[in-house]
Amino acid sequence: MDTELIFQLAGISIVITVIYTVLKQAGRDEFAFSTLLLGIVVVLAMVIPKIANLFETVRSVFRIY
Amino acid sequence: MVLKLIGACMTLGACGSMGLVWAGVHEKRPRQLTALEGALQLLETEITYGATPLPEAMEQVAGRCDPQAAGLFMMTAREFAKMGGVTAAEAWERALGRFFPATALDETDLNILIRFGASLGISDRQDQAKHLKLAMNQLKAAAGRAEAEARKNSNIFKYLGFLGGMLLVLILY
Repeated sequence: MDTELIFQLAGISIVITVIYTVLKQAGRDEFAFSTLLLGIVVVLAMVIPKIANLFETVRSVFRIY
Repeated sequence: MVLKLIGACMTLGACGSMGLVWAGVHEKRPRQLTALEGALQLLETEITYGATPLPEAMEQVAGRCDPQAAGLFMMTAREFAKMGGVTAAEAWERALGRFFPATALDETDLNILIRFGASLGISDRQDQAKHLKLAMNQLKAAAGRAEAEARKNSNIFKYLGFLGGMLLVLILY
């Protein structure tokens, strides 16, 4: 498992947080919310294959088929 | 690795400059509206006090008003000079059609100007002055609204451009 992904996710979350704050300050709450949602979707799309991989590994280690 | 870095910089630069351009458009609109209002003021003076014929008045205004609005009056004067058999309203509208795409104005501003043009040169001085007053008032109101909007939006667009670019880089990296 590479550590690059962790830093990438951290970076994305920082940028999303800043965008959320900027939009909220400007009174564009609905855009702020949709940005947050977009961030969650993107991050999940990046993380879910890794989690699936983990499950696969666990299953193969304990021979649960 | 180096290629990736160059790509990241280019993406960031492109998104950032896009944000800056958007912010610039939002900041330019109120200034252009004020410039047009000032130019109409000059035109009113030409018409009511100077009783200048419209083609000459247009040239005079183009020479003296804010350069941001001068193009419109210059083009109208040129339409008149062509002697193409068009009415003042048609000349105004044609000039507007060429002037409008290069500006930051939106549809409502265009409608104000077109409606003003429709009354151009079809009545006596007092009536022309009334139409000019009406158009000036509408432009002033539009400028006020645009100013408030610009103050609210231009900073957001600047931030959002750069942050969006950064997000794109991070996602694709």
